[in-house]
Amino acid sequence: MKEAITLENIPEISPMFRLQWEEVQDAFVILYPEGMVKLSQSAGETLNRVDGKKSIGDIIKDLEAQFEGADLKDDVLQLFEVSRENGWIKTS
Amino acid sequence: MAGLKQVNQAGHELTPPLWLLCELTYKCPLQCPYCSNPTDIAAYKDELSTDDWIRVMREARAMGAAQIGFSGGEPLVRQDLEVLIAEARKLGFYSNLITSGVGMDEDRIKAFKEAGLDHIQISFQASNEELNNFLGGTKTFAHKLEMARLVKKYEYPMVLNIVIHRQNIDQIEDILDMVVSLKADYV
Repeated sequence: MKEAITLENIPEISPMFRLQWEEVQDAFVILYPEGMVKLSQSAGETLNRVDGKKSIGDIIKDLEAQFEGADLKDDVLQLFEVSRENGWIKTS
Repeated sequence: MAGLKQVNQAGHELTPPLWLLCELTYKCPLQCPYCSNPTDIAAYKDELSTDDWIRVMREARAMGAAQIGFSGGEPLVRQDLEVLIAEARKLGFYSNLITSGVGMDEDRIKAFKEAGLDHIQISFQASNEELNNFLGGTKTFAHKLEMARLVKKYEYPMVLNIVIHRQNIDQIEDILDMVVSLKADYV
């Protein structure tokens, strides 16, 4: 069992996956061998901020600044837990 | 496509295509008896040119296809494969190379990486040399093992494809052991 993800963790997209904007889907998607996951708008906005440098705390601040006044901490942490479970991201 | 909703005969809305499978050639060094490619290969010798494939790729991408598969026959037979891979990357496709591994070497695996290939699938016919080579009609097992190791050395996600039938179904455990030892990501 891995330790729970915290605000200090720095996520990066796993080299086994590719995140990109898909115009026709009007969404961010995660691509992998013969497969594609279409992300919701909020998940896409969040994972698109993953650059291997920003911590999850930084990403939340950034999101809360853009989507004024929203309290996103729990949802974002949960998204990163799911993303790590699926192997989309690695955390350090 | 804006504003146009296409429906099929049953009235279900048609969604954009997700996947373009390019059967680049029907030539193949293997002779697997269960192959689904056309047997009348001579009638299919007029393969699409590089420019035609690039046009098809652009059209599919514009329609929404996000994945592209380079298959055959054996796609490595095409000398323009690096060019097609580079174009696929440029267009934003996630590219899949579906190969027997025959015709591949380290230089080509490296060149594909530089061209932007995302992932490689290698076929095995069985988990041991004797049956693999018998089913494929060629001595390829050792080479396939070497290619699978190189695919992981160059950090591609790797899929191993094995057609299961009565000649090899009893080997399932050995096949899975082989897949694990080669560090495949999917089988």
